[in-house]
Amino acid sequence: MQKTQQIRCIMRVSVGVLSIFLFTTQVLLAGKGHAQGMSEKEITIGFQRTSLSGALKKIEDLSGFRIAYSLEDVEKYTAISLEKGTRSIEKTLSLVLSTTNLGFRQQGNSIIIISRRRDKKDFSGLPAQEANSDSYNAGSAATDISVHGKITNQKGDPLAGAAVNIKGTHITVLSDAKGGFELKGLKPDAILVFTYVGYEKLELPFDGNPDMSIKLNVFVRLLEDVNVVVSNGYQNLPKDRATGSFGYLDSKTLDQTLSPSILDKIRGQVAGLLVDTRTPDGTFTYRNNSAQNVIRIHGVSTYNTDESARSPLIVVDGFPTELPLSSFNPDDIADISFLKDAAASSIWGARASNGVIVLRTKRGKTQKQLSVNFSSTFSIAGKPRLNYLPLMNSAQLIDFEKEMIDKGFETDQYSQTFGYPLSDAAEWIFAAQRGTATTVQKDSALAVLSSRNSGYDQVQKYLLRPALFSQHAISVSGGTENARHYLSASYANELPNTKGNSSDRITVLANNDFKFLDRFTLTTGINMSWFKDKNNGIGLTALTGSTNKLLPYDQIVNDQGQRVQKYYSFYSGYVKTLDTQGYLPWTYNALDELDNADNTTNENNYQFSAGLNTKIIRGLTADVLYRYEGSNNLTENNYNINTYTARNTVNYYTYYDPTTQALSYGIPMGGMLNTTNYTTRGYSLRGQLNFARSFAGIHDVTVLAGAEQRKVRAISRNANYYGFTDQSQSFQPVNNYVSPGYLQTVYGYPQYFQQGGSLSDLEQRFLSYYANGAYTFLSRYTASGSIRLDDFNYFGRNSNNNPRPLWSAGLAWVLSREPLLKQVKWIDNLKLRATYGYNGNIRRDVFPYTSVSLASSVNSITNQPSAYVANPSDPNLNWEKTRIVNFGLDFAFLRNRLSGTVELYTKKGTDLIYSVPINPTNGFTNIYKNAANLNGNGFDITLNGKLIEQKNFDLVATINFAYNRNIVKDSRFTTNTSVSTTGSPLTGYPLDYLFAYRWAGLDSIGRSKVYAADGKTVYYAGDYISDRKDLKYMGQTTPRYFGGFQLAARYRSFQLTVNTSYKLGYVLARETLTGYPTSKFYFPGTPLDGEIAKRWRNPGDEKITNIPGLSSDFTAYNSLNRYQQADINVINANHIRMEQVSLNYTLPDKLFNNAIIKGITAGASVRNLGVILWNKQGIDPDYQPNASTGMLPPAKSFLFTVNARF
Amino acid sequence: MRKKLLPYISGLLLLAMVSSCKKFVEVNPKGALLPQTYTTYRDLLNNGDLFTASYGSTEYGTDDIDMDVPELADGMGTYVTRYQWAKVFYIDATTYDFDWNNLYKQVYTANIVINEIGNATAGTTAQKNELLGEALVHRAFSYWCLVNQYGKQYDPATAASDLGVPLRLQSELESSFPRATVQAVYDLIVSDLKKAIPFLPAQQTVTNVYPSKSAAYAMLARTYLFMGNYPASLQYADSSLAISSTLLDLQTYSSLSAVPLTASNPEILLRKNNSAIQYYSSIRLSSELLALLDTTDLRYTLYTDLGSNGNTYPSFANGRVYLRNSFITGETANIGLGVPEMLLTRAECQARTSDLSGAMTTLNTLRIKRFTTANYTPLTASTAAEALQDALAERRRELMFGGMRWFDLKRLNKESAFAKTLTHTLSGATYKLAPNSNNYLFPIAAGIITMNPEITQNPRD
Repeated sequence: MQKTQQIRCIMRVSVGVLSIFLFTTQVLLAGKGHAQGMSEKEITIGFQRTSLSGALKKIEDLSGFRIAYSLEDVEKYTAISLEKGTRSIEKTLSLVLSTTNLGFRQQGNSIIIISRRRDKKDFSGLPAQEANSDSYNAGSAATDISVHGKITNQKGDPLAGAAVNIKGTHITVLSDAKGGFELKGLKPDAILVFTYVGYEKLELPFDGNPDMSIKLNVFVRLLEDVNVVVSNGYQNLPKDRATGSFGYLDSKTLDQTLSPSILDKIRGQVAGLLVDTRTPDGTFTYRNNSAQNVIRIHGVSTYNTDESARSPLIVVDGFPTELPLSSFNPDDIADISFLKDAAASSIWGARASNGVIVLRTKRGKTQKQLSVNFSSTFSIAGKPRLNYLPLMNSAQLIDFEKEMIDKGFETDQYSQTFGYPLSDAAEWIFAAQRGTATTVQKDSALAVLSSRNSGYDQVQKYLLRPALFSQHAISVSGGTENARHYLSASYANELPNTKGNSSDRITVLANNDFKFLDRFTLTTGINMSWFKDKNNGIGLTALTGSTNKLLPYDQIVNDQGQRVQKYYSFYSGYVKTLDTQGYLPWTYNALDELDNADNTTNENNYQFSAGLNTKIIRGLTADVLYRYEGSNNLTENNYNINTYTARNTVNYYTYYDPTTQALSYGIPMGGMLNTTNYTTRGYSLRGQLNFARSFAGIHDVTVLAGAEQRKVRAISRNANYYGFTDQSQSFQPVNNYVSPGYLQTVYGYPQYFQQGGSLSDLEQRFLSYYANGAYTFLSRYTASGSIRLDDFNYFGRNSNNNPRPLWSAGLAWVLSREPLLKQVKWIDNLKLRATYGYNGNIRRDVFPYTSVSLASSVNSITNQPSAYVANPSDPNLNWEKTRIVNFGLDFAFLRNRLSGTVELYTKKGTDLIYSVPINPTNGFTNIYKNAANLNGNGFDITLNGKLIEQKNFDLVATINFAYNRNIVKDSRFTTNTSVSTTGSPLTGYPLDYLFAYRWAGLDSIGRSKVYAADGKTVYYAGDYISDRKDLKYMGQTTPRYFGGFQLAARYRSFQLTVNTSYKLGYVLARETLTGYPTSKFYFPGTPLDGEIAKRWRNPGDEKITNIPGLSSDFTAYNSLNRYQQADINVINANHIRMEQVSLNYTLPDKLFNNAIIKGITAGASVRNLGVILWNKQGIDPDYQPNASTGMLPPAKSFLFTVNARF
Repeated sequence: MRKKLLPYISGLLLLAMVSSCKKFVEVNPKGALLPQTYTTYRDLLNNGDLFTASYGSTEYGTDDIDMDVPELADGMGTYVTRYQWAKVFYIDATTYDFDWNNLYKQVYTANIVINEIGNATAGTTAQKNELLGEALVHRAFSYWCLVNQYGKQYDPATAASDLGVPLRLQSELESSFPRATVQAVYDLIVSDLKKAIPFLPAQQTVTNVYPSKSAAYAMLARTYLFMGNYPASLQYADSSLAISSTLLDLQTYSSLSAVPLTASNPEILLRKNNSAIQYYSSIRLSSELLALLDTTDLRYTLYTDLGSNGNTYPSFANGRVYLRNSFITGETANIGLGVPEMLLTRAECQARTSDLSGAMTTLNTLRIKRFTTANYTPLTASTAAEALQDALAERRRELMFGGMRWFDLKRLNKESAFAKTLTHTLSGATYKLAPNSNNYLFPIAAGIITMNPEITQNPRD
């Protein structure tokens, strides 16, 4: 029922659009009349000693006719002159060609230049030959052989007006509008020559097959920059006619970066695109919208900190996708377009504010033979550099532990019930204090521990390894004129640095296109991927826990080769008491955990697409497109009873009754199973009309309009099972409650037991209407417009009833086609663009009505399912809007040796949803409203220089540079009462501002001092700082300038690519003194941070150190905090990263003459070569060393790939 | 021919499928329910965290507490201002008052149920009425907390002009919040409770967070007691006790951990939690309160302990700590309505209405459950005034740290016989609170007044 209604919706819209179009096209057609002949149309032109090709190009531009010629015929005439005057095209051409042996004739909107050197007489009929004949009868030729066929480009688009010549004769025909041609009277040994302006000449001996399918290759040298066809997801448009700001990467560029990750392939390659990946050893284990994998196009335009609200919309083959980019095999990507400004992206309406990334997968081509491609990739990375983490060594740590004990931070737990665990060193010190060990024993034991630095080495040895990656992929492509196929499959395996973790991926892609009944094209696509991730690893988390971490003198395996058991829950002596009472062993060993861990995630993703394109009348086509997409992700963490997690949980809820001396188990004895099933599924349905037509050769019109509906449902199911047995797949209920919801604990008092488990089911529905049009006059002036109306079920009642369309408009002017500039030889392309418009952004966690959220588990007080009012009603809630103004300049000079683009933009976010404070007497302290503004601006520059261009040697350098900055101008955020160094928006500063305390050193008792704004007043750790002025603005924490630099060199068949990227103009708050204690009351666990070793110890130390002393007075927190957030710990984050150097070698074709293998390419690359830093601490800002998260920079990795074509 | 017809044929086909589109996007996302069905309203009132946490920092202002030991001096955090009866509670203009916010959130949520439950789908009329009744009691309780914390003590002579708290009765957001009079707030409390009573079951079986008839009667009894209307208070206390009168016999419990927790304590008629005092916080008993407690009193042995025994945090060397929000119970103390309070209310009203023997019988009904049989001696009194003294002393013992003392002090100040100047010391400084001082009224948080200046601030002494 619902479904029918949905389909009807689209249809109704389509009908409306259709009738409008039928009406308008008839009007347009009525005004057109017959194509003008070249004898009627006059042009004004003149030139002096110019090349014939240049002369013809000018005539072409002025006349609106396409002039086709063979470069070979034309290039020898270099000094053509013509007195300036107004003549018919026919007359002009006659004069121009009068000094050559070339003739010409009109065919439709094309003029063909034909060599007549062989037989002038045969040419006498020209140019009278009438255009509307599709075939050319060779007349007197004596044979019956005839051929017919179709000429297309490599994409399969028909080439109208291409010339087919029988070599050695004057016999030439032009292809018709569909690229079709017919030639009669061939001799069996005839050679056919196919030419088309801008394409490479093709000579083919007649092979007896009367049905030919000809594909011409773009003549790269002249046209590669001009003929780029970008996609906005709804349409493909030639870049030279676009007004908007598009970035574009074709498969050739993508292939230059040898990496299994699409993110690696786009990083640093497009101006204005910032890709920040923090999972260097997990190339496809990443998922979208995680903080570790940030993608930004032209910065941030919302206050919403949710990653999905700041990331670009990702469109694959025309539809937005919820699937991660990692579910695609990069080899299957044909090209990627980046939509940066309003004109480019506003067709995506309420989801376009962050820009759009449009991927197109490869599709089959019409070709005689199937081509099969097999590739194999293998990569290995070095072990991660653990010594990059600034951690204390054993001697330093023991020294610090002594001080902690002396000052009472750590106390003897020997006689405590439920005492916290003590380190080996602390245990010896306390043993000496309590008299169970002598001072001599203690000292010698500590000496042994001091000299034993086994912990970090053993983490390296037992828990880490070099990362490995391998992938094998096969693809088959090919097709006839009516059916084209691209099929691919790949298998990849990845072993990241952390032992115990691994990932497998299988991808399958099948794109099939069919043409039938002359006017229908059916495109289908199936794309699937399967992941299997094992997440059993411990890795660096062995060093980052609070009490449960490995200290530098600890061992995982002792000198005798035995696994060392650690006590991480309570003091070892106390645990032993519990052991005797019958508790499960409460001990931990990392290798035992690795042996027992069984945590897996299985994910499968799928997309099914079908599209039907119908030609309605000339230039007008209709599309109906459908996509079904889904993903199923099942995580199962199976903690068997031998895992620490299971033992710890069971023990925690086990109560020992001292009177009966019996244990009562709160939760069933046995393993635990935690399952999370995350499923998304949804469909998109679109009806669209496309109109593209050229009128009179000077008016080019492209219009599309359509309607779309889209539904995405995301369901999450999480559950915990206790007393779980894997073998029997059974579990037991938790029912040993002492009062509702409460279980007795090891401590002897009951605690609320969170059985866990959560459910969510969110359905998003979009209904959109859109239209987009462009008009180009004389190939020089383009105006474009776009409009989109979105309804979204999360928008407010008022918003959906009074929808506000998002729109854009743009202008482009190709200066280089102006007659004046055409004569400037060194300018190949010069184009100015200006666009203006609004994009939107949605928020998925805010609702327009009084919304009630159900608590995910029963209320611990009432023991009943409960709910709360999440948001009071705001029927005006609407999408966020971003106004984007963009100016662009495209240029190509010196025969395209130097080309590039400059973009200049401002973005202003309005109606941004922000949690606005309201009077809490309402029942809420804050509500979300479309209330705030955010300003942003920036520019991008891309420069491409062909430094050397020779037969055997090319050298191309590309540099892109982007500047982006946002600034809060909204006066709402002037509040000065909170003096945090980062955080909520602040008027006059970027969103990611960083303030710091002005460090003034330590005082005589080792506490921090900071200066006030005047630079004289000193605040001691006990002073309260209430004025933001007393903090110093350090800068922003995301790069203001960023981009990449690529160098591509080719020598014969060797291709060398060097990629670097850089980020500049930002700062980083260095993380330091992690876990440094400030209170005696709570022992936070032994910290490992290396700077602690340099702490203040005695008066006088303040002259040599900035590290506050260990203290628990009430100022200790301020003392630590102010040091951590002091200006001396803010570092310059500027850096240049040597991303990769890769070398490709293509084996010479002649090796494979007549062999099954058609060609082999081998490649090798080195990634993560190094970083050039601007900070003396040697901190790689992307991978800040941190004792709490344990982030390590990527190790150098080596990748080898072989690609064979069959 | 075929060419020309095609667009029209497809057009006709498409036209045939015309329908309404709008409904497609008018589906509400799950996980974000609109309050429409009975179950949703039920779930809203099941939110124990919202409806129990009510107030509690008042305890720091009473004469039952003495935090003047070094271990505790710094531990009060911002509540030290209550202990010092300081002029200013909230330093900067953006700070809110958690209790104010939460009580008004209870009011908001109750309003949604009160105003909308009639239109709810599913659920029987009786079920919906019960929710209405529950919401009315919650709202009444919230306003009682608000008006007594931020408004003057109810005085029939001045209540119609004394400033109470803003009355919020709508579900929609509002922009103006003038303070209603104490009388208006009390009138609403009384009318809400009376409206609720017929809809409620005599007792709740699911959870004591749900208000019952006995709880509503108890709340009326409390309200009338604070209005000085003792006969009415007595009448409703009797009505409540007629339904629920179970008392724990404390001598049956060997230790506090054996005493039923709040959730299953039959003495509790309506569960409300102290929002200010964490379950592990050390609350040190004043010497005055200790003097009032006999060491054989089971409330002394079960509910208090040496501060050094580590059952609360931080430990302190000198004095005794209140244990009902300790590591032993793992929960915060209850400040809601209970059977003991009703007995004490009855006793007080009986004493005040010169029912001497009735008052003593009522008191002893309670006391017999608070001592071991060996240690129990019934209280006797020879005059109504003595009986009233006994009733009030017993009230202080029984309801210690149960949220009542501050309001009782405020109430009793109106009677010269009970008016009292309080003294607190802290780290060498001495603070005093005179009877009927303006400082008995909590200041309204600066952040609230910054947003709505029409909310008049309370004067401070």
